[in-house]
Amino acid sequence: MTEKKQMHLGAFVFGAGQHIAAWRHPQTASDQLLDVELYQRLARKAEEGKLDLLLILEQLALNEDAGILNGEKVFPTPDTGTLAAIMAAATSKIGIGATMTTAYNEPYTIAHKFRTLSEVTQGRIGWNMVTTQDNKVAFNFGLDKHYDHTERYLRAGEFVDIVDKLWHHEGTEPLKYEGKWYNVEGKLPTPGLQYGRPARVQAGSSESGMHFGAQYADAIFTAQTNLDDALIFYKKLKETVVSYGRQPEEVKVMPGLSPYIADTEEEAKQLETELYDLVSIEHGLKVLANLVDTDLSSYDLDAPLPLEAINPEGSNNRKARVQIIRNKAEQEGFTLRETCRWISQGSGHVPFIGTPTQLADFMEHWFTSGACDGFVIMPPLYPTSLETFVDKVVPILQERGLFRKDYEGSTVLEHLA
Amino acid sequence: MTNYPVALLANDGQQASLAHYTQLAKDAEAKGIDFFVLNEEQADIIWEPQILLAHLTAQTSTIGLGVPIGVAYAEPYHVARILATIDRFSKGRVSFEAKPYALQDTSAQYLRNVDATTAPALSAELLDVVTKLWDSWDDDAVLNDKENGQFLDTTKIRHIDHVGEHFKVRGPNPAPRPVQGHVPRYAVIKDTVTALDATADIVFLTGNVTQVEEVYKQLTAQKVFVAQDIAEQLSFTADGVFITPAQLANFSAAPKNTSLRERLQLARPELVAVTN
Repeated sequence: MTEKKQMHLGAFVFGAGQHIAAWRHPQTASDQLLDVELYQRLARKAEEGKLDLLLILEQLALNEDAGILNGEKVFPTPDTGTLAAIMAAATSKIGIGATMTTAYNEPYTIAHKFRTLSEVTQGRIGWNMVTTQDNKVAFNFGLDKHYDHTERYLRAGEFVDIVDKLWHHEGTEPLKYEGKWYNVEGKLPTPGLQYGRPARVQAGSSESGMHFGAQYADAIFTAQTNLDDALIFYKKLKETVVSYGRQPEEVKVMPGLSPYIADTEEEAKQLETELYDLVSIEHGLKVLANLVDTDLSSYDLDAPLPLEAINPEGSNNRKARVQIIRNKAEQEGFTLRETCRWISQGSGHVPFIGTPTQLADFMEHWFTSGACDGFVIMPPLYPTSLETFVDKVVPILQERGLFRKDYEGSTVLEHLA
Repeated sequence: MTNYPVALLANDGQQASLAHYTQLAKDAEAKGIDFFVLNEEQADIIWEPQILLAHLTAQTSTIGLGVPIGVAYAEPYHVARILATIDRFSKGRVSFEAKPYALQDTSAQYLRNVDATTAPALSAELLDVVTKLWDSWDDDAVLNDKENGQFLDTTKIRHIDHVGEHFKVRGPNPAPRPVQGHVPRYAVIKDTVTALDATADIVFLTGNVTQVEEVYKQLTAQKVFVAQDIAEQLSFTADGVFITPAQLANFSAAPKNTSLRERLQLARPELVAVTN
């Protein structure tokens, strides 16, 4: 009897939760954002739910709008490598994906960090390879501006290649790599890989990002807001994977999903409204303005979204995200206010409001339609949203044979297989 | 000497495994050692040090920790934010040694162009930037005011706008000020005091009696640790002693629950109030 195909699940760790106003909610532990206890609690819960991996996102600079620090947002997620070690100490099976940028690190350092993390986690580590979206980060590394979109991905390809070669390098002679962007000669001082190589995750659905992911990643964390677009992306991504000489099943496509779950639809809607009410529209507007590098303060909030100002090509940093927002706004006939609200809800990922069974139905439908290989759950607020997902949704998926009842392997690559 | 802090200077285990360091730190903690310090010249550490420090933090709960970090190829922004993070997670138990080179000395591994003559100045500037980044937040900048929607008091956080010979960093640090104000820095000195050694907060003198006496004369404001074996033979009273792993079996003390600075009686640097 053939075993039913099973989905893969990740849990997102970022700030106080996916929702920008999450920290203000009474249930959010916003006073514990630098406490071991909170992160270990999240890690243990995700492991209880048998999730493939936690995904820790990196934000290297404080939020600023036009040079003014934004006091309405929490400070960035703590250093991802440190958090990975903290979460590893509280778990034994779940994978941990740590984001580290290729734009502002040395390849040797990243290779060394992840080899060390592989030892710390006994193979349960993955690397989310980003190229950094925030312009301002450049100012902290001696540059006057961030690398442009295309260059970032070209550099990243070489960077990842070097890291991979350093991980696998054997013998006493150093590796010699003379690339277009990087010249590196050396070898890691650590013993050879004991647990296989760290897994690689890619996030970012632009054309360059997709090619980069298809070439190097084991899992793709993507932003998809509707089934049709997700189906198109999935097909295109898998075809691109094959074009690089890899098997389509080697790369798992996992869209972000930000679910508001409660025992009744009314209660789930109430949670969503509670969070919406905590968002200042002023701030949502700033978020949108930041995404499109344009001042939007002169536009009428209750007029239709000014599409001429929402131009993906004008964005160095978030082309794909801006395109998603523009598409959604056009499709729904959003006003500027409604667009800001929609951004706050899920930042271009799939928002869902409903009961555990409805969510399981939704996930099953996407999965069996061929729109994805699983999902990265982005809990609106920590820790309660994650707890609800693990306690109430995972059992339904398991019962339906759609998700593992227990771990079989021990490393991230084994979980993703 | 009574009530002095005792450190364990880990100097065995050439290219030791992670498991070895972890077990040693835990053993030291169980025995009530105040401060577990990796002496890189002896230990030949092969693991990436910031991850190693995070790992040791996660595996222990009360012991002070110290690891050497190669700063010649580091970015001050990363060093500042990572050490501040680990300091916070450890509840103020950590410290570091700044090595003006990479721990594995093949410079061709890195893109940055540094050699033995430029490394000291670069390292000094890096440490200066790191300190400025730690001071870019007042201690009370986090409001967490849910009702009024203000998480941070931005009048208490500043860009640093550092422009120097080797680094240009705008800041601020993306994390609150460390628990310890500045994460303390230690140095291990045998017979020669370098410029970086002279500005360390804590020094471990590993030479013989003559060398220790000679080095001591050149030091000023540091907390000085000497080997337990020779402490009584010295002309001065050290601030603490260190033992080796082999001597751990005969040691026993009550563990402290204070920050590293507190147990070493190292004053916490306070910020002079700055308004934006």
